[in-house]
Amino acid sequence: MKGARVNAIYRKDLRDALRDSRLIVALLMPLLIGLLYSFMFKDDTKPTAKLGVVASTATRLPAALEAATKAAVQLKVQAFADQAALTQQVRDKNVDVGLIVPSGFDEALTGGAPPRLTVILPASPSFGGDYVAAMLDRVTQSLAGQAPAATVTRVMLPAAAGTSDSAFVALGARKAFVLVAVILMLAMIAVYALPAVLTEETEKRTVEALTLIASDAEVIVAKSLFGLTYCVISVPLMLAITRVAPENVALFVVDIVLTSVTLVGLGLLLGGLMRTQTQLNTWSTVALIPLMAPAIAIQLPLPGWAETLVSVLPTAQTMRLGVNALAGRQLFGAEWLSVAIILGWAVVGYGLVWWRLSRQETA
Amino acid sequence: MSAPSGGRAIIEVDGLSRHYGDVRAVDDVSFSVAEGEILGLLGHNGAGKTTTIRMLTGRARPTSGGALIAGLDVVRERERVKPLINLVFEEQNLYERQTGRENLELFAKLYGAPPARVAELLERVGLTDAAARKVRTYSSGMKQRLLVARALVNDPQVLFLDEPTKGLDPSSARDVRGIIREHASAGATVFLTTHYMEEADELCDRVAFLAAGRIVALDTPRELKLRYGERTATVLLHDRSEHEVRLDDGGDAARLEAWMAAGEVLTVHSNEGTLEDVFVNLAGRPL
Repeated sequence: MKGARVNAIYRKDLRDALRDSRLIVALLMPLLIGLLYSFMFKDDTKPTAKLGVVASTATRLPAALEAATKAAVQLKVQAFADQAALTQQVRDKNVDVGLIVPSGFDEALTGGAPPRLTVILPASPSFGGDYVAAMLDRVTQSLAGQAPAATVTRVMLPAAAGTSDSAFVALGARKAFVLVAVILMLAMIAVYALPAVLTEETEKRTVEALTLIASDAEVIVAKSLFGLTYCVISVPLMLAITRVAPENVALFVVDIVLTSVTLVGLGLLLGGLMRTQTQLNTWSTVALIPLMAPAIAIQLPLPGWAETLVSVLPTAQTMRLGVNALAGRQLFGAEWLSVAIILGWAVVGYGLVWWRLSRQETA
Repeated sequence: MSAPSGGRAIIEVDGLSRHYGDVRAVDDVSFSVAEGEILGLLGHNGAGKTTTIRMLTGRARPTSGGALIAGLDVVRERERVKPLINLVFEEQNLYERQTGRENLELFAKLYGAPPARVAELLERVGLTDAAARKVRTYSSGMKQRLLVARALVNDPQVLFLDEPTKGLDPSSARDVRGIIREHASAGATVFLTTHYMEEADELCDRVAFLAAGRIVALDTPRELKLRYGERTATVLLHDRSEHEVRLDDGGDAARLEAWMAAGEVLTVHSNEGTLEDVFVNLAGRPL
């Protein structure tokens, strides 16, 4: 094998990729999804809610609500001058729930007179808004000095290690979904970008011109390097634009490198099987499902058999190692097993590529 | 094995066959080509021309038989044969998003040719001015010239061309033929397949006719025409009537003699047989 030939083909592929709109879109789409997730979800594990209050006299109600809901919701209180302004903010969903507190509300409560309290909610309330509204009865009873009908003790169990709950609690939804976007990006490289390059070479028969002088192995190594370069550039780019930094950088690098090598192998296999771009467009979508499903399924409660099935797929293990690396703690145990499963898939992928090549050479 | 008339044989093909199931794409073909010779392989679609080239360039394994190029086995010593040969593909398989220069630079690097070779070839095929343009903006003729330039990047001892002028306008085809002739005159061996009889007649030192995977005739165009072609003459009489006579036919010859004796002949044009006639005689139908 000659390094100069591998380098020439590799550089040609990189230059070609920058001029190929299909490959640029394959890179941009997961990046944009990651960015979208980053804006949609917060790092906090508790939902937030904004409470708007119109009160002409001082009232203890907002503070009492904040205290009563703090275990489940992060409540922010904002005062408004009049009902119209508050209603508009609720309608615009800048405020989750609005309260119109009449003058002398607290005195009326303690005096036993039932004052009128107006609650404003949007047509489709948020979880936080709904929760605050539901807590109003209990809070006003408490302010009126009434004893609750029962003493409720709330016990929140800690998330068990190695479960989707623990991943979300430790990472927050934003980081967890950015990790999903990273896996989507690697999967897109494997099932679309790299096979697209290979299929185009086959369909236009340029690969025959290459192999007039280069060996099949030199072409395959160059394509692998191209796929790995694509991964190496795109993952840090994703982390940079979403401002997600892994706590355990070394584990994250091992996770991404192993997964990239494995998925590139599977991409070479897929690219070798496809004869035309049309075939690839059809089958890449199908191939994306087993690669993406585990990354999403790991965050869902699954029956035992389904969890076992999912856990043998490489991207399920990528997700497990990724969660551990981002959290900086071993939320999913047996990291060696995750590494072994990913490596096993790499052996299968490259083994099949090698087998196909040797058959081709003797054809 | 059909031998060339002179010079050292650089391509030696012996009993070469390639079968796909029951289909004999190439069936026990033997011939040799001398250094510096231009050999044309003619035949219908599916006659086995491209399969022969695929086997000689190491891209398909023979079912039986074998071939040597410069004394090297094209299968067992494929890696050593590769730098000695090159091929102009039937398809215009160029990198369309790359410029003409980038296409040639890639293959110059693959073959280890000096960088100066790229500019030299662009000049030789008349693409210097278009070298910085992406290939997708090229006309078909320009692409074909670039394909030929790519195949010359390693200055191959044996240049294979699969239908090099297919689909080209007459001017572009003439340019391509000029480049081929120039390369051959520098001492290289050229092996080409074509559908165009005039092209084969004009370019080739020898021509092989392939039918159903077998070589049915192999010789110089002139010898083939003399051996298999029909000699005819077009006779114009004083009464302005025109007659086609076969010179090898006793009856026709007697008719011509009678017209001559009677002083009725105005003009006589003798016609040599064409390769097309030869092919029809041998293969049963025209190309």
